[in-house]
Amino acid sequence: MTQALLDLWYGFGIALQPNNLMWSVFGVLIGNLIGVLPGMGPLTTISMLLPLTYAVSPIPAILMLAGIFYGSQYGGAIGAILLNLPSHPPHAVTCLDGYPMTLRGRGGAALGITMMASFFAASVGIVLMIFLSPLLKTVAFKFGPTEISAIMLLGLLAGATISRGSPLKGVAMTTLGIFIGTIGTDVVSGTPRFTFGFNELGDGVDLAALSLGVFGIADFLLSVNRESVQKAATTVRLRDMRPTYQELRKSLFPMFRGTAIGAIFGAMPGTGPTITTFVAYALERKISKTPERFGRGAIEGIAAPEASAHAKTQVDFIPTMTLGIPGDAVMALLLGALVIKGIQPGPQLITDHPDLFWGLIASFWIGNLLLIILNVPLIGMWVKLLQVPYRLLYPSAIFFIAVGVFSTRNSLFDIFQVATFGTVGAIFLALRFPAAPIVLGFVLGPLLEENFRRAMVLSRGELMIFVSRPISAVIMGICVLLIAAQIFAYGRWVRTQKSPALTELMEE
Amino acid sequence: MGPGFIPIVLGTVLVLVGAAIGLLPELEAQSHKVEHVMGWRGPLCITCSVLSFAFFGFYGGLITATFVAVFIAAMGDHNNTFRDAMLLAVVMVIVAVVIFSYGLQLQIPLFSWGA
Repeated sequence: MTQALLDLWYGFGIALQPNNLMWSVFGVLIGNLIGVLPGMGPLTTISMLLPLTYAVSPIPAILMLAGIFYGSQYGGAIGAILLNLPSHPPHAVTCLDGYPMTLRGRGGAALGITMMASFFAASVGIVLMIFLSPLLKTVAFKFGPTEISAIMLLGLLAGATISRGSPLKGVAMTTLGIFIGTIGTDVVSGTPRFTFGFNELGDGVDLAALSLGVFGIADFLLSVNRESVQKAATTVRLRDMRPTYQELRKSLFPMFRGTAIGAIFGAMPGTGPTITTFVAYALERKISKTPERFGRGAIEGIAAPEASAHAKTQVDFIPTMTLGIPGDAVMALLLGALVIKGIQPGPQLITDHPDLFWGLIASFWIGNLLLIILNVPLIGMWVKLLQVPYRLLYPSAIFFIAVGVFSTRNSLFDIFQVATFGTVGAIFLALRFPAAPIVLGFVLGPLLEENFRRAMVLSRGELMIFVSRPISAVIMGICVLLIAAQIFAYGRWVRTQKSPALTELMEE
Repeated sequence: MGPGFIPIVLGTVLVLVGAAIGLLPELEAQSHKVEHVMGWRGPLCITCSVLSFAFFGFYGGLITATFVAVFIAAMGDHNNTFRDAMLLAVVMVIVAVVIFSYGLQLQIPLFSWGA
């Protein structure tokens, strides 16, 4: 307990170093700015700025990326509430009640509540992180390659199946991601794999190129000329953002409940933020005495999902940093950035890199506080930014993507990679295959393979090692249960020809 | 346990999952209708724009590449006029030169012919 507080103090020391603070502030600001732009979610934003981190040392790089992440989450809520534009899937729920509030002239209050809920939830998430991570550290030394590969398998499986859409397609995309991860020189034998004679592929596919392809270019390919009605955003002034006492009272408990849901989901590896916000929203509607108000501007329907998203975001860092299992594609990108920086995420991370871990935690607080301070006076500017038409936005974004990818390795070849992954990604998206699991698989795949092969060396090629060691046996059991649950749910659906309640809600 | 082990496992999984996707009725098929009608101009222009940046980055340099890529991409949108696209391209060239070339020392010459 005292140790955790001491560590936190140490973390603040790291995060407040001028160089680190500068990158953190920069990340938060840029994340917020790009997150506000229509059609730019955290995934695109982080992918676009990933190349920039290649030049920076690990700690500022990760502080910046984390800042971009929660900054763009804040920004995304603005677009969702004022313009009914969810730039990031988790915000789709926020649109349901946020936009009706804007139509009623209470958009400012909705934003105010969002900010409060987000800050509260993030703070709770950070506290959880501070006290839970050291606990994980004590079990961490029991984790050998066998356990790590087992838990990675679980993370991949969960990431593939517990999301929107068909679980089978999720599994297919995850597998494809792992496959893309095998491209390049095999670390053990030095044999080039699937490079087809391109020397440029010897180091493997570039993470920035892949993510910008499937999250950036693919998205532009599908949304260009999709006539989206540009609604005139309402002007929001500072004093509009103060919620009334009534609104505040109504959103207090939804905020708590949302935070709790987010924290629970955050601790489970592989569950994305979208499902978290949907569950939080569904719960509020279920326990509300006036469920008919939902969808017509109920403030509870904004407070709970936004709180859950931010709590989830923070808690998500626990499995990402300590086990090396990202909760969703954004976390996978952060993880990938760490790996590029030569930092192996996993049980040893807190011990090996205490400056990085505690500095990151401290920077969360600084960043979240900063967001509140920034967003209040800048709200007018964000509203103007929201009106930037897509037809001017995407050509500029393509330029930034091209330059960004080029700069990572000074290689024009990487731009061809972006084009390829963009086209392939767009085809997959059009066929309703999810894109996020590709990146999840791509980042985790090489780590999984490495640990798996190490486990196989230890066991002399005996696969039974995965069930003979207790921890990995339990994890494997959970994997089997997960698959069984999916098959069971599918079987029930086939019999009744009716989708389960959750899917139904998510289709709305 | 050679370098081909994992790829073979992955390939097998993909074949099985692919077969399952093809053969089993889809969970969400009923509630969705594939929305379409977006034409070829947008996607074609965007793809060409990305490729042209790589091409003109080599034969032409940063200024040429930026101008062509942004211009082609902008022409993909039905609502952009020729003039809008030109203007946007010029603005992005200025951004490219000031921020990326002078500011961030991007390693592409402003003008070049091959490397």
